[in-house]
Amino acid sequence: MFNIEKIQEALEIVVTQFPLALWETIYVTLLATFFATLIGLPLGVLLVIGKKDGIKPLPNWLNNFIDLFINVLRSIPFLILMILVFPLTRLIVGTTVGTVASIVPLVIASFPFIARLVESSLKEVDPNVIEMAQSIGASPLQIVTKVMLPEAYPSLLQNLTIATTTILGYSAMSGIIGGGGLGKIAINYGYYRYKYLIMLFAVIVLVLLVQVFQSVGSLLAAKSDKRLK
Amino acid sequence: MVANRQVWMLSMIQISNLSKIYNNEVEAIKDISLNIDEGDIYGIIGLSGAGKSTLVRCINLLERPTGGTIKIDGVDLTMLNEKQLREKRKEISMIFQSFNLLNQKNCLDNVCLPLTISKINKKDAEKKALELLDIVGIKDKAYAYPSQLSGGQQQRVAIARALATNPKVLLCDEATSSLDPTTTSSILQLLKDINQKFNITIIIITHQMSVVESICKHVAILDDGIVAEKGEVSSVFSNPQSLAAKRLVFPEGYDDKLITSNEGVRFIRVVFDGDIATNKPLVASMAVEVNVVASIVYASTKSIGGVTYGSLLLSVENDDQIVKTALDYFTRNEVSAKEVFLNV
Repeated sequence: MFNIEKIQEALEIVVTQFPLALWETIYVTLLATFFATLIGLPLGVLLVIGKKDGIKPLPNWLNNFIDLFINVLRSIPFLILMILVFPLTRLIVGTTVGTVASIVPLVIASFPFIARLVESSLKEVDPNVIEMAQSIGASPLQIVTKVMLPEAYPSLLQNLTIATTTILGYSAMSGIIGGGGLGKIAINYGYYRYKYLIMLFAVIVLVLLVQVFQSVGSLLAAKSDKRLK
Repeated sequence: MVANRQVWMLSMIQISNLSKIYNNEVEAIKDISLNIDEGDIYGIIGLSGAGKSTLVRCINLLERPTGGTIKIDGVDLTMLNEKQLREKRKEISMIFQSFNLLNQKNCLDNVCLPLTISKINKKDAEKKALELLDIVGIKDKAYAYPSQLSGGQQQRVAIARALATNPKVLLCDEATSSLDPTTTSSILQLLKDINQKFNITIIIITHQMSVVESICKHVAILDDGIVAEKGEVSSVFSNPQSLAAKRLVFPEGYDDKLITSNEGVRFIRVVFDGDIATNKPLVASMAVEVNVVASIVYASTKSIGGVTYGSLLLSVENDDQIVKTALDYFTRNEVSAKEVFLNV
């Protein structure tokens, strides 16, 4: 399987198709992370401040509803979710096939995950510091924006890095519904046309990409943390 | 005329019949009434579980009392809505045992926090914050992060932050409990200076008698959710009436047997507050120099860097002249000593 001819063929595909695929993977991942954070961050904040002993308690039924909603979305396998959200995708993008269309299921699949990550980051903020903020007359919104989010910043950055790499993994799966990127190459050549070598190259690039995202994210998180220096 | 009299009668803080019951069963504080005058330094002391933390959190309504009222400068806090309460809290600052600084912000930004919350622009806020950091003596640490500071320095930042909104009242919740004795006395000195400079009414919550003795004018002793005793510090500690007060004078635990076994003697309490450096064995030399023999009933002192902190409880013969000689002896040696009446 690894004869010269096959390697040459594989390399040719790497050179001609990989640059575009790499770019598609990166932009789909980053855009999906961005939109998922846009929904997941406020939801995560609500999960923490809305608790009974939180700074802005919400009615019990609403807390339970948000909790259930997130758990339900998180328990649907991504492969099935992609197909389930077709109507929504068509509504937003106009089509259910293609690279841009794959962003919709990615966002739907990952914002509940991000909400949970944000929840765990915000829970780490020292309750004494929140009490201090209340004692100086800060409103709930001010406590969130001026105390909780800044204090949780390094942890949020670390968790968003995890989310980004997870979304990168999901984005490779979206090759099945015609989403572009490295996942599509891996599936089209490796699964449908038995060209394992090309699939192997695509996987190597994906692994490297995860490494880069993770290292950059961890580095930024560590650099931004002002504790224990 | 009537209006004048009302102004004259107004305390800075009026706590009336305050109670707090958790979950309809645990009574943390019961029917507490206290009046605290403007410019006072008022100590609230008690063992852990006495309800001190609940009481102090009721004063700025971080805990909503289940009964009674709190008036600060004439305004009943329990009648305010959320927004009015937030505004009022800007007049009631608080410092904490764990300092509660934002770890991700430098000292300057920490001090600016109450000002940005009050929507004061950044430039004015920073100017004011620098002035305050100067007052608490750590202007040079303005751009350092809390993790780079010692506990005492962090508490100074917290004090600067507490002063940012020009409060009328400063609540100190075990503010020195996590500090060593030397740092404790410097922070207490700072609180005293601030009290005089800005005429801020200070409430000090503590379990340490030395804290109350060194800066408070008045004290209330809290025991199991009620005020067991209150009054001027010197009279409460030299003539404790309640069991709770006696327990505090004997930090290791008050015991009736101790008193009966000491019948026919009188007690003198000697306090070392770190003001003087003494290596002199005072009790022994008192016997040699003025011929007063004292036995040590209770002692809790430590020497740190040649300075002694703590207290001694001595018993001497029941004789006015001997007690006077002993008190004079300690006064001459610049150690504060008072007779304590413990006999039931």
